[in-house]
Amino acid sequence: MMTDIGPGVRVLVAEDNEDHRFFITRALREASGDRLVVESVADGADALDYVHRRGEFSSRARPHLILLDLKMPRVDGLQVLEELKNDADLRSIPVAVLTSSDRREDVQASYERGSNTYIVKPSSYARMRDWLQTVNDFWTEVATLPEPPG
Amino acid sequence: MILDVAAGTPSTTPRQGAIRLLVVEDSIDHQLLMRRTLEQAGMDVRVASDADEAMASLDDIELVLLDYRLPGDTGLELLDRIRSREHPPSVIMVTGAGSTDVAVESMRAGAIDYVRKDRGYLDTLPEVVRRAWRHHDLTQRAQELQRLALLVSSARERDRLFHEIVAGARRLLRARSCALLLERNGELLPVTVHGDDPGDLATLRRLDPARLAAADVPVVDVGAGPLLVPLPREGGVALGVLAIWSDMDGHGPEELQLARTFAAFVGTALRNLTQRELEQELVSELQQTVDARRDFIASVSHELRTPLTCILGFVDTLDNAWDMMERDTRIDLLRRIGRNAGDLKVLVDELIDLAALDRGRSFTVQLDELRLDEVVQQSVDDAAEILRDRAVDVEVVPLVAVADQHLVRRVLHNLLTNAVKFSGGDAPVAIRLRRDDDVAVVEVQDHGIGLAPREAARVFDPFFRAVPSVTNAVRGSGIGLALVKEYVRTMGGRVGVRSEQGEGSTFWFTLPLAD
Repeated sequence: MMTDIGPGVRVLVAEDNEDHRFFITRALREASGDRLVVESVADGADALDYVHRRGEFSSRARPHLILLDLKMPRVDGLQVLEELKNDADLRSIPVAVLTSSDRREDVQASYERGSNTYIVKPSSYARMRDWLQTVNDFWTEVATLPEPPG
Repeated sequence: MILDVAAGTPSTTPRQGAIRLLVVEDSIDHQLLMRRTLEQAGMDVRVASDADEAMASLDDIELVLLDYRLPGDTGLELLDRIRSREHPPSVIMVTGAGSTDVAVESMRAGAIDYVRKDRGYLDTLPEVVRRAWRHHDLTQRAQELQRLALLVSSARERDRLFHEIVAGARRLLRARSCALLLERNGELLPVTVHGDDPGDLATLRRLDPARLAAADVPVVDVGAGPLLVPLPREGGVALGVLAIWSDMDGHGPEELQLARTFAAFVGTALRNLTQRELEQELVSELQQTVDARRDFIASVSHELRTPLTCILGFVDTLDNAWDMMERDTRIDLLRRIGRNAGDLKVLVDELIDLAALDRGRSFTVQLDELRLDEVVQQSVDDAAEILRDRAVDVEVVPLVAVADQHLVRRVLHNLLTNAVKFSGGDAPVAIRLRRDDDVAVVEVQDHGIGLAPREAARVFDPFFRAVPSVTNAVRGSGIGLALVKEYVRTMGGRVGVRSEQGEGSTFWFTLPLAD
């Protein structure tokens, strides 16, 4: 059963590198034919504020899917992951770790904290674009997303 | 040094107790006579009438008075059998009156002494036995010394070694307690004690290691104090001293010799230990350097690839989708390409500088008169993206310094980036500029995890990272503090850090002021 991209499936991209953030956000939107609503934050602290609807994010809706970088200032990806997956309301949101780290420790640590998948960023934007297409296709056509917490 | 009173085993009683000996003599009369004489002299005597009985009675026996003429075995055969035991007792051969040949033969065969049943031999018997016993005891102790020396030299690490030393000395000298004191900064400090608490350990601290070194013989304190055995000296100052408390009235010259010999072993073992520990530290430091280099290379390649990925990616996008993009988007992408190229340039420049630094060469520097306060403010503005919502406390006074503007900006960028990188949460960062005599002082303070003293001492070394972290790299963080140090020094300034673990760090540097 495909996810009904009715009012718009929302994706949160947490990525500290400004250019990566720009690229991923755009590529994801294009891959979905502009049907995905993609928003982004630049560090872990903002990511948590976003999902908890705090501060400047108080009017945001919860995302259907999160793409999470690991190396971020202030609060890093693993901490965000830990907090998300320990929260009774938020743990249902699928998290795809998207990071340039291919270190085994990071892979293990992410899965141990409950990430739904782990993707090592490819080194070329062309390939990244292809993979983001795959991410879109998988999560909106192959898999079924849960309803985000209210 | 930790004072470690090792659990005392019940102290080995000094060997003034009864000498345990076995009399092997088939004549009952002689048996009785010898027994009586020796028991009166305070010895513990057992008897046996033949070879088999003798062999069965040897447990715990230290000396054997052996009649040469026994039924069955000759004395020599029995001597042989006795000496073949593990930890054999010593044997005094008792020969018939007037027979010297047998006596000599016995000595050759391993007897420790001989007694001829001449007239009045019973009177001298106790003294003969005592003399033989002393010899026996010393031989035992020499063997023990060998064994202890082996134990001491095989102890590979500090605490174990100290323990073997004091336990060994105590066993060897049959002491109540033994303490090892080592010289530290002109004082003698106890490092470990074995046995009962001697009580007067504190008084030994007053000893002068230099005075001890001058003594070639162990010093015996007057009264009930301990025997002091200096450890062989290193260049005029005693390594330390073994202090030995025993219940005995004194120590014979052979015992003192044993003690000196043991002390020589101890001295060597301690020197070897220090050597080994130094080597281990060196290896550990080398390993750290190797690890730091490896981390560095991983970190640098990551930081080089990031802007490259962006440049290639955006160029690719422009190439493929030029017509489909709006003009504003195209301009945005071009600016991003430019910015990433700029970052890459800075990174490459710094790598080149670092390589030159590594090879001992310096780099060119353009010195001008600068308004440092303005440069500081600009750097803070440039770092806006890194600082984000974080509070930055900027305190500057107008100052004109002589410096290279590009380098100063790189230095400030580096310090600010580090401050943010190592700060948690929203902790504020402060940057201050003030005048101190004829130099300008810039301080960048964070409230992050801080540095341990060991890290603080090395944080400006090339390739050193206090926290190995590719995972927390921030774009544009550059090569690091090694370059900061070099840049500042090339401009005639100094650089340093004050840090408290858990509280934060303040990195500072100075630059010469314009006249």
